[in-house]
This record gives sequence, structure tokens and C-alpha cells, in this order.
Amino acid sequence: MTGKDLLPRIGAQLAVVVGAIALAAAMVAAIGVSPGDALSVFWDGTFGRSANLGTTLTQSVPLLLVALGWIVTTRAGRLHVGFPGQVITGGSAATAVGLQCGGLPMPLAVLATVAAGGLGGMLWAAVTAWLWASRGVLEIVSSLLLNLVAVQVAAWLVRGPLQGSLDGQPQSKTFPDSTWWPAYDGIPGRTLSYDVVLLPICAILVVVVLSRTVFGFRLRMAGGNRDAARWSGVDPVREGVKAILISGGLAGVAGAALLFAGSTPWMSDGFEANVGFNGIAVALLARNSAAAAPIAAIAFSSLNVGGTALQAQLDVPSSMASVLQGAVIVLVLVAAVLLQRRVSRRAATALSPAPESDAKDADPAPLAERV
Amino acid sequence: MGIFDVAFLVSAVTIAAPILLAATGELVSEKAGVINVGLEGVMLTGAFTAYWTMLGTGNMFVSFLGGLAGALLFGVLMAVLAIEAKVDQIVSGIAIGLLGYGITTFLNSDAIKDPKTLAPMERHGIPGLEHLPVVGQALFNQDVFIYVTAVVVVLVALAMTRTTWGVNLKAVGETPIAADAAGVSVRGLRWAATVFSAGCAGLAGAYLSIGDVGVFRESMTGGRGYLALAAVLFSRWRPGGVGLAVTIFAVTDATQLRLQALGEIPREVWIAAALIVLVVLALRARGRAGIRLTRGDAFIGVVLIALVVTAIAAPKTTLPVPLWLAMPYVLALVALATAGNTRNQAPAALSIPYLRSET
Repeated sequence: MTGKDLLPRIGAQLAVVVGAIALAAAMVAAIGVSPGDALSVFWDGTFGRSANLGTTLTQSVPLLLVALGWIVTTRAGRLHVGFPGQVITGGSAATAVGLQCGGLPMPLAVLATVAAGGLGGMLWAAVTAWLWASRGVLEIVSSLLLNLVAVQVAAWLVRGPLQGSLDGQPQSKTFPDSTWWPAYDGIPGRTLSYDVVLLPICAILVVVVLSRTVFGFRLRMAGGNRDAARWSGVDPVREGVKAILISGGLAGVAGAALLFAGSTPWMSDGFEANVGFNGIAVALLARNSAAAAPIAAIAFSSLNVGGTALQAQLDVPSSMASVLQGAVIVLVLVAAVLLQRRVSRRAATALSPAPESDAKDADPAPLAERV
Repeated sequence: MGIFDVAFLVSAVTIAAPILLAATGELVSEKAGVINVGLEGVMLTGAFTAYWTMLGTGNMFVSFLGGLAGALLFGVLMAVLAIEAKVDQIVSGIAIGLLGYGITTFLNSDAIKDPKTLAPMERHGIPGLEHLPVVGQALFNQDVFIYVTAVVVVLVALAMTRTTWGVNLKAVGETPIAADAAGVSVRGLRWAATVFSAGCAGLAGAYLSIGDVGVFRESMTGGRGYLALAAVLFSRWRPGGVGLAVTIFAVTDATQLRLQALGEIPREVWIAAALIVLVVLALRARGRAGIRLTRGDAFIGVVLIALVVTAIAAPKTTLPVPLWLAMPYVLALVALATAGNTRNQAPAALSIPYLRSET
């Protein structure tokens, strides 16, 4: 990316944000709420007060983890959408382990929940990876089906094996104190969990691993030119499987974060709250850049948190957030295309060869070829 | 006949019809090289707009048109993104799925003030055929949607295999550059296929809300769009395979519903399952020289033995409701896993935008 391209890129990103805000204003106005009121409630509910700011930041962590998973898999040339299922299985595994960890000291118990979450998500992703690598099933379809299965498995767990409340509510027992992820005491109500340090750490880790390690290089090679990868001894299938497993692990940790750094100290079947799909939207908003993903994650998290505030105070349906998230993806796609046309037109007039497009929107690999 | 009676067949047909229509549309569009992963969102939109129109007009036919119109908007969006803007089809499909869910949920909580439950569509018997034993009631005494679906599916299957249009469609999905050179409009055919696919999904969704259930609920399609996608994959892009896959999914779903109501699994279910597994084993062994057993056969054999043992030893097992609900999807996954490598049989240009070299 040259410095010259940076400005239009940032401009395009801002245009996306402005477009989304305009759409939100139109939707709010359509149901008879003044956009000005909505904006002030939104600001108050997301960044304006310290407790709400804490919630926004804490809730951006799972989104970031899923987004990083998507970025890793797309770099390896794979596209799967099993994140909701992996978040659910990761969270369920973390719950199952966490409930047994009452006797352990805090750091060990927290680590146990993280590990269980990662493992749970990875196991669910392993099904997709296996179906793709050895049975030739398109990972996109198998992961969509696995999401539906995971939803039902979680519904069963909180009504069966993990059900713990005395009045028969579909939820698990309250987590032992030692398993709660530590939170900043300065804000009452455990809203700012220390897992926000994962925002910079994970983002930098993914950037470094992808761009500075052999492992990352092989991964990107598998996602680039398959034949070139094969000829230089990189097995694209193996790298693809690794990428899917890593993304599953990240999504599973996201599930654990949702539960153990969340506001409800038990697992219920709706805990996933669309984080899996929204994480994909976060990655797209960040244009698949791990470095930009934390900011995009905070922006998306504010949509959710602010949406809840809007519903509580102005009776705006919280599903507005889902509409905006879908619209953001479309806007990002369109912006990327417009930007690319502009760049290639400029290149054409300068009689220089067309610049290599780095966006995966232009990825010419067919589904069947993305082996 | 216990659980596998005529009512069971009727419910299986009612479940199968919308999935079959959506899958047929998706088959056409994938043949042309455009995959719409957001099928679920399109179906949901069709379901919502049809229900909305129904509350406004009270006319079934107009409401189906309303469902069609809502879904077509998404079809056009998909076509603009995938064919004109040439963005990644999977990503735009995800966007369409999210948008479909979000918009319908948003409008459902805001625009529909007093939801009404509608009566299901009327059934019309076909004289002469409706009194046939067993299949008469299930196949020839159904509502108009199911007849129309049957006609559409047969016409599409014929058009795909017997007409120039079908050949062109396939060419556009396999080698768009050759099709273009031969004077076939890649853009035109892809547009038509994408919009047709959305229309089918929309009508399927409309049937769910106003034809079958009689009301719109948040994400009421419940994964049927994904099942349709899986059916196309399982079929290896052949119309007959789509029919087979949808039949399997619908029968599972109908069984699941029935068993959920019964609470415990009667012995005949285990026997039926064992018979099906036996047939699968036989089909796999057919055309193979000698008795050579693969690992897959061994696995199926173990499943068969497990089923027979369960039928004899513990027939009255119960399963929790959520696990019943997951059964069609699990079965779809098993079907995909056993279907062999579908990756190599996909249309070669599936999900690749066609870039004409001239400007």
C-alpha cells in the first residue's frame, strides 16, 4: 500500500461510516424518533459514560477474535462462516469446565476456561476442516449447517446436562467466583474486563505471525497461488486446515469471553448474540487488515451496545443493529469496488501496468479451485 | 401404520415443496456460476413481504406476488454486487443473509401492528388421482403452491437438459469466456439466473409464512435456505439429485416432527432406519467387483448393527427436543460427507466474476 492510496482508502472508510449513519438516521426517523435524540442516547449509551464505555470495550473483544479468525482463514484462501457455531461450542465447553473449577485459584481457573473455549471452538471447526479436506465438501455450506446444529446442541445443554437453576430455567449454574475474568474495579458493575488487553495483543500477534513468520508465509502462499505453493512444497490443503482450526480456536475463546467477561454469570442458549456473523462484518469493515480490526470491532460493538440503549430509552427495535451490520458489508464492498476502479483508471491513464489488487474482492479463484 | 401413515407423507410433501423450489432456483443460478449463500435471508424476506401484503390485501395470489417482489429486490442486489460490481459472492451472500434477517426482524417489530394467524392454503384434489391408495392424498390432494412447484421443477429440469438455453447456462458457468466468444450473453444469463433463483426462494418463503404456518415469525425459515444450498451441493449440480436430497431432508424433518410429538421412538423407526442403511450399503456395493470392503462400508455396517441392536434391546429411547430439531442438519452433513467429492464437480466458474477483456 503506497502513501498515495492511503488517503482515498481512509476516505472510503469514512464514506461507509457516513452512509451507515445516514441509513440509521433514516430508519430511526421512519419509526418516528428524532435522529438527534437517537444520536444523543446512542452516544450516552456507548462512549458517554464510563460504565457504558467499559461495556462497549469489553464487548468488542469477542468480535475482534472472530474477525481475526476470518482474516487468518481468508489469507489461507479459505472462507468459512462457522463462527456462530464455534462461539457456541467454545462457550459451552468453557462453561462445562468452568463450573468444575470452583476450587482452583483464580488465574488457573481463568486459564482453564480460555483453554476449554479454544478447544471447543477448534473441535467444531475440525468437523468443517475434515469435511473439506477429506470429503471435498465446500466449507461454506458445511459450516452453515454446523451453526444450526450448534444452536440446538446449546439449547439441549442448558436444558439438560448443564442446566443448573433450581426453577428449571434454561440456563447453567452460576459460575464460581474464581472463573470470572478479572475486571477493572474503578467502574462499578464489572463492566470493563481486563480482557480488553487482548485487543492490541491479538491484533499485533496476528499481524506479526502472518507477515513475519514462516508459518504465516506458508499460510499466505496457500491462499495465493495454489500451484506455486504446491511446487514449493507447501500443501494448500494442510495450510487451509490449520487456518480453519486456528479460526475455530479464536472463535471458541470469543465464546468463553462472552460468558466469563460478560454481564450474566451463567450460560443461557442465546449467549452467542450474533457475534459470529458480526465478527465477519468487523473483518470486512477493516478490509481484512488485522491492524485495523480493533477499531472496527469497537465500532461494531458500539452499534450493539448503543442499539440496546436505543431500545431501552426510545423503543427503537434492537434489530436495527442487524440491518446496519448487513448494510455496512454492502457499503464496504461497493466502496472497495469504486476505489479499485479509481485506482486502476489512474493507472491506465499513466500507462503503467494495472496495480495489483490486494483486496480479496477481486480474488479470481473459483470455489472449486480453492482447494 | 403407526407413525409412517398418510398424514406423515402429507407433512413430508409440505416440508419438501418450499425447499425444493428454493434449491431448484439455486441450482439454476449456480449452474450459471453465481452462488447465493444468503438464500436463507432471501427466503425470509419473501416470507415477510408476503405476510405483510396478506395483512394489507387479504388476497393470497397478490400476497405471493408481494413475497416475490420482496425477494426480487434482494435478487437484484445480489446480481448488482456479483455480476456488475464483481465482488466476492460469498461475502455479498453473507451480507444478504444478514440484511434479510435484520430488515425482516426490524419491520416485523415495527410495521406489523396486529399480527393475525391465517388459515393454511386450501387443498384441491386432482380428480381421478386423489383417490389412489397412499400417494393419492399426499401428492394429488395438495395446495396450488405444491402443484406449481412440481411444474416449475420439472420444467427447469427439462430446460436444463434439453434446450439450448440449458446448454448456454452450463457454458456460462463452466467456461464463460468460451460462451462469450460463441455469442452467448454471460451477463444476461447470469442476471436471469440470479434473479430467477431469488424469485424461487421468495415464493418458497411466502409459502412458509402465508401458505403453511399462517403467520410471520422472526427467522421462521429456520435453516431451510441452508438445506437448499446443501441439497444443490449433494446433487452434484443435477436436477435429479436435488430432488433426492430434498426428499431425504424432508422425510427426516417430518419424522423428527412426528417423533417429537410422540416423545419416545417406536421400534418401527429403528427398523426403518436400519433398512435405509441397508439400502445405502447395497447401493455402494453395486457395480463393485468382488466383496471388497472399504472403511466407509465398515462404518456404515457398524451403524447398521447399532440400529438393529437398538431396535431389539432399547426401542423406547427418548431424545431431547433440541436434538430432534438438529436432525435434518446432521443428516444433511452426513449426506454431504458420504456424497463423495463434490468439489470437483462444481461448475468450473462458480463464484468467479466474468471479466471481459475489452473495456
